[in-house]
Amino acid sequence: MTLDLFAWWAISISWSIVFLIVVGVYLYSSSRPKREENKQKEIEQRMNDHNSIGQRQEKIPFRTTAGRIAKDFTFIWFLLGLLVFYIVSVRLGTGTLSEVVFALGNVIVEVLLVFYLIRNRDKPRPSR
Amino acid sequence: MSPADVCRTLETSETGLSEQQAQRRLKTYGYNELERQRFGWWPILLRQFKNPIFVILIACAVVSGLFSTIEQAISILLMIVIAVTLGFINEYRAEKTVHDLQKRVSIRAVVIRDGKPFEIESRLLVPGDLVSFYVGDIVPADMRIMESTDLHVNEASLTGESFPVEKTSESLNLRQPTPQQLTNYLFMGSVVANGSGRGIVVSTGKNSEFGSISRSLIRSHPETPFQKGVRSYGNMLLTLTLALVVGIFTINAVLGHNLVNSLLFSLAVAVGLVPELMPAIVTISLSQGARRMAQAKVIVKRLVSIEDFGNMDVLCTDKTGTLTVGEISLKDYYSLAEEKDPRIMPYSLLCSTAVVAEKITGNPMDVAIWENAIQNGAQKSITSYGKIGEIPFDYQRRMMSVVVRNDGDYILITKGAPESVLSRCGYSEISGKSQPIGDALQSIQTKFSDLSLQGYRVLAIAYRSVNQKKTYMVEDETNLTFLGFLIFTDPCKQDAHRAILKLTEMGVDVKILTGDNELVAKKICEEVDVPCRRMVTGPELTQMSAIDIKKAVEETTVFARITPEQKLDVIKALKENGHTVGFMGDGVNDAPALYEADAGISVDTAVDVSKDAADIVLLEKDLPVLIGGITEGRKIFGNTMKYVLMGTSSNFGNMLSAAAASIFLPFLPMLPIQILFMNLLYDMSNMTIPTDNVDPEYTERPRKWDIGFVRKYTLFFGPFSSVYDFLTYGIMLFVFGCAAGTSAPGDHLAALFQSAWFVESFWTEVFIMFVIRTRRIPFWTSRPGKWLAGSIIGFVAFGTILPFTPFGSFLGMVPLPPEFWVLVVLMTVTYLLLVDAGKVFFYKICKFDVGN
Repeated sequence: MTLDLFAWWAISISWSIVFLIVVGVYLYSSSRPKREENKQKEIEQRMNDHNSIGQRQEKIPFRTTAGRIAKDFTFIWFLLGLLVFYIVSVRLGTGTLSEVVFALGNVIVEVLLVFYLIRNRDKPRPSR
Repeated sequence: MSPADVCRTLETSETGLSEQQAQRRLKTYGYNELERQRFGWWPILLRQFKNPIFVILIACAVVSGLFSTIEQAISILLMIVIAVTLGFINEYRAEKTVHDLQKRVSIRAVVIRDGKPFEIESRLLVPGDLVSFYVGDIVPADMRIMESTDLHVNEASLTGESFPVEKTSESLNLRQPTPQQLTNYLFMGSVVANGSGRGIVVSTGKNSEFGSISRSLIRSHPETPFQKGVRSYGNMLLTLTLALVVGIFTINAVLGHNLVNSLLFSLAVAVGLVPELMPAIVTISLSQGARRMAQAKVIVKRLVSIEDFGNMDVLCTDKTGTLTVGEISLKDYYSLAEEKDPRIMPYSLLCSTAVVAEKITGNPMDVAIWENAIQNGAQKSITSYGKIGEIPFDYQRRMMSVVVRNDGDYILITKGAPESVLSRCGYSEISGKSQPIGDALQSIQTKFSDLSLQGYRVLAIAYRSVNQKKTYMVEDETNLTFLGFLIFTDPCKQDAHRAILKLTEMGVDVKILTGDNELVAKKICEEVDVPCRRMVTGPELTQMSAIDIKKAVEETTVFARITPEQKLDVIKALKENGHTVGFMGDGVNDAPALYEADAGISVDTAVDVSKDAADIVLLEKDLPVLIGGITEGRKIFGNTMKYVLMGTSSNFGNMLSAAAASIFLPFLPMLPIQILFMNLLYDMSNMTIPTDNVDPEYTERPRKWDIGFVRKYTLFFGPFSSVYDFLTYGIMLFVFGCAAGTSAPGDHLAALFQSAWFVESFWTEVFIMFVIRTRRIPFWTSRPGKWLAGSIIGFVAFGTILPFTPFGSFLGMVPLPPEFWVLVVLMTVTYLLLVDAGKVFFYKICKFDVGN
């Protein structure tokens, strides 16, 4: 019964994370035109910046599609890792070990998330 | 009845009632207002029970009382009382605020009491009062006309007839007349389209003809984009709720779970999902915003329009009072030879609709002529003239005429737009000599163009001798003799350029809709440095197809020589193109456009009919005043969206995981009473959302209700909450050993599980507001309002100690072990950070945003 319940639980939490990932992929693909429009603007802006300061034309580096997807999906990879961690820590069952692993794991996850958020923080905008 | 008979019957006189008589009658007849205009507490209380959520709650109480415990039924009833009281108090305060604000722009009437004229609120009028009325006034009560001058009244609100009808004080001899036949009566709600007069109030309030007609005849505003958005959001949630409730109940029944508990549980989940506080939150947000806007000299008459006011992306406005100061004065008048012909001033005074009484009212140009004349003592020059007839102004001819008699001669005088008047002139007069217009026409047109290019507004005046006859028609306006020009100034506003630039920065495209010719409009635009992308004239619009108009309105900045009907066409085309349109107008003919616009804006000095049609009234006709109001509107929209996004993300996720858990758990994941109580606490904590700070970048551009965005947001952020709910289940089942719990009443392990999930669910549901309330990353860079932060912390503290209290025990909770508290803190922090990281993906990578 306990094992059955665990299987149910593991399926439920996995389902919710997989659902989240599927929605993420769907949203990512549906927002493609908007991203490309922004990318185009960014290229034009960078070209203008280069030309306007009289520098010679340089090759502007852009990530490959695969590289960009890998970076854009950092969040998704993170979720998958989190799923594995949660299932493993809960699977350890009753006792201090499970609680300690879960607590320490959470602290590490929080540190990583804070690092991710700071890297992606909003840039201060020039005042008008 | 003759006027004298009316005075006798109503025990009044030509000097009006005395103040004491008026006070006594006010007590007898009551206020002159319709039922729907009154402010009272009971409709607000009644409205609380119309909320479908209370039907569900009462159903829960009944099911509990019949099949479960009486204590549970009483608890649910208690919750209903708390929720109703809370909703009522907040909505009452909100509506009281708005009611008080609206009084500041209430319709007023000039009443003669004790022989002296006073301006009072129309609601204070009583039968027997003697009232003066002028062009643009809304007739404040049913009246018998005592005296009138060129009086024409639009009774569309009563009869549906859109053309003004002539009214006089003449007695009639009719048996059982219809309202349309009563040409010596004015009816409440009709509009004085022309002329002026005095009348005795016969009936007021609900006893008036207007008060007795069906409410369906009263013109209602079209649904605003915000109202449409709220409706589609409600439909989306209703569909979700129905699907979940039916699904949960069916699956639980199939799995053989207790049917009563399953029914109660599914109903509780429905209560948890429905945003029952949405109307209260919106009303509170709007009323608080209305109060702040009032401090910025913007009075909100229709609360629901605030958000559309903030979110408008096109503002259509006249140039008078926005680009110019709005103080029109007569600068000069002269003939083609630039001589001051002695007939120009008297002819201009005679050919006028201005009403000269206690104050000069009417068309601003006519008022300016009269003011100039009075200043120079020229008004006496018309004493020898008698007015015989009039051919009123209309926007097709763009001119008016009068026929006057002087020393036995009959003269038709025409005044209007020079291009219209000139097309009817056969002669011109230079230095007192009349000659065929011929070559002079070119000089007149050149002079007119020169004056227009200098930014002056110009009218032409012409005349001809006519024979005496009963009526004069438009056909008589021919073969006129051009006499001269009337030149008006309205200085440009110094800050207009800055204000328009600011509006453009805020994403509001300003379009000028003016009756003036294109040269004047262009000159004014140049002077105030307003970039004019394209200019379209009224005649050009007439030639366009509906598709062409839709295209033209996008590219055009200035619409010149435009009629009121064309203003309406422009607004309709812009709305059809998907814009949220604001229209600022103050004229008699602006009412239809004010009704049609998403945000109808008028000014306190506008005629009654415009003020009545407007949603927003500015105490000063000034663009900077408007800017403050727009920002406030955007803040209100931002705070409303926070509540919506909260409800559709964390709340939705919680209910989703509750539904899933009820299938595989041996007991209910949370008792129905616990879900209902948590929902009540959550709602109470949300009551301070309207006071929250809004990030300045959020108010930088207009936003629209976008149900697609809300759906995407729900789909993406809802499951986050579910993940952490499932995680709590896992911890409680397998780490704290609740898997051995049963559905037996009072089972400790089941109670431990339910208490733990109550705490985790409530923490995450309430704390997530700190993350969702801002688009900024990381969320702690945006400071929440102190009331919101205080209520979140306060309610979380209450939810935390609840399992340790007797009331917690009553709700079926048990104290939680210390280890749990460590884990729940860590889980909540991770959840908040993870949702913030989700915002990076949603907003930055996928670039989704409200209204994009």
